[in-house]
Amino acid sequence: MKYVVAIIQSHRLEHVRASLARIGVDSLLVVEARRYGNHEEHREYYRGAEYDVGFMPKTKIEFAVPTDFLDDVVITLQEAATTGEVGDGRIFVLDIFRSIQIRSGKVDAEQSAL
Amino acid sequence: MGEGKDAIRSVKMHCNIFWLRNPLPRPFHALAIRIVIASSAMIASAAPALADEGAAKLNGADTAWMMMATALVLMMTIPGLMLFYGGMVRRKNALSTVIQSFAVCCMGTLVWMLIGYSLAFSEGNSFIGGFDRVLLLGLEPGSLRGTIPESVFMSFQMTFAIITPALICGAFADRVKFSALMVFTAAWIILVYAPICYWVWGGGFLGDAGVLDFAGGTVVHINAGIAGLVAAIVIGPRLGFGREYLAPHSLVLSFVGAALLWVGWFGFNAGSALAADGAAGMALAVTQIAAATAALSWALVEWLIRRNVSGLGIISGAVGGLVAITPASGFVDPIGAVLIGAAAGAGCYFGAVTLKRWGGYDDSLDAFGIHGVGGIIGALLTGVFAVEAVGGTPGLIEGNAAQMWPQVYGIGVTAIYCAIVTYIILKLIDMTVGLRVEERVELEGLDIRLHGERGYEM
Repeated sequence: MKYVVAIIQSHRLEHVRASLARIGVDSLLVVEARRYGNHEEHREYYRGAEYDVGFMPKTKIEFAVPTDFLDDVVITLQEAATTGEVGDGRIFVLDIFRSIQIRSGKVDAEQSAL
Repeated sequence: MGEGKDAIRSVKMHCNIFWLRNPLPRPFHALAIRIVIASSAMIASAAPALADEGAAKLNGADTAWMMMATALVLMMTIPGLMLFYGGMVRRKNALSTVIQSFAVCCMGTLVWMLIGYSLAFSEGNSFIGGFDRVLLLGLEPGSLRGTIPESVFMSFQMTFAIITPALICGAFADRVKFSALMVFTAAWIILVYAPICYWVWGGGFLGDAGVLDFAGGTVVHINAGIAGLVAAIVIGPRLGFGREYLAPHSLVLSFVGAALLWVGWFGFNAGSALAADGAAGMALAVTQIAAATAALSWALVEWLIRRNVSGLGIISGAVGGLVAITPASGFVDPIGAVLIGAAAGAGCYFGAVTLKRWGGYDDSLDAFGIHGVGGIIGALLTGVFAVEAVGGTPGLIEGNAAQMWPQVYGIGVTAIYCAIVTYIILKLIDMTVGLRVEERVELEGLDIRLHGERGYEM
């Protein structure tokens, strides 16, 4: 089992979800996040006050996948999340040391469900 | 006849003297109009005596409209101003800001009942009313002010006494102690609002000097704006002002608030006719026109300077236009309203953006930048665009340059008195209960630290 964490453009979320669902990833954890870095910023303006805001709204998705299924998932995710612009985000793949389903107490459940 | 007209004008100066608008019961209106005109000199010269005796009878339509208008003006503070301001602060202070408007409403009501109304509207000398209506003693179902029950008149004026200190809250938002605000509200209504209200409307020297203020441009908006400027300077800037991100947490709430203010302003301006008549209708029309023009005017200035149009800009412009048309609403025609609106939108942009940057003070929600500046623009332009056929007084455009003097005089007297007394009140509060919250409270937010609650559970 591997754990996939991806930071994507918020407006690609629905497209990413649908693409992953087509290849069988049917549950995700979704977090609305803000990212600082990559020299990305936007300007906000409230009457006389102007702010250059470096915290850009992003969406983080997380899910577990069986190892032999990983490459398909990563390729699908990357294609679905790509717009070609700066700020499209990043995918991290992590090892899972242990996974326990809380309801059943079952350890290392062989399913991608969170 | 000329003398009679002067007499009419001097009565109208008080603005809230009403019987002249409906000298006779409605059914006789048309028949009697020629007689009224013919004998206006005589009636006018006898006016004060007749008004005192309550010669005018209660008019049902006027009373119904004025009760409606009272509710509309109350709606301007809660929830109008409450949401307008509440949306403009940071999330950690959202609840404390809406509490401020709400609590000022409650405190203002009690103070007005206790003594404010009496000082502002009962018989007195040139400077202050008397004590005839302390605790509203003597206010009976049968008491009349013009054609409406005095209870309705008192309540209508109460809503003005409420919104004025509530407007000041915008200047020291995010950092004022709740206890200090409550003391300030009570003291300020008694020592600043009631006297100035009396000077302009209650029979005091500004009304006698011919200051035109139909619905409270001077009494409410210049007054609140100047007090806000003094408050912002005395309390000092918010922590992080000019360096940290102090953006509004919900402009949608501010939009809802601004929209409620706009609608409520029909009660404020058209209600100030104190009758359901042609003057009220005209005030309503020019109010709408000026607000819309000012919103577009602010947007246009923003577009020219910054190449974008902001939502906060549009609603700020609309409120600025409403402020500026307030003193003028009984005296100008629709063309005047467009010009006042256009000047107010651009002028308030200057007030809230440029002037504030120059001054370096932190008038957080622009109580002065919009209400002070808009109020001064409105008071001056009332003198410029007043139309004799609308309100009985010609302005500069119609050749009556002399009208500019009382307008400037009214602004100057109000600003100076308000600034001095507000400063003293704030300093006394600072020395006793303390004006500003501790640094830790300000950093963590007034909601949790001052009230033990959060505005949002998320």
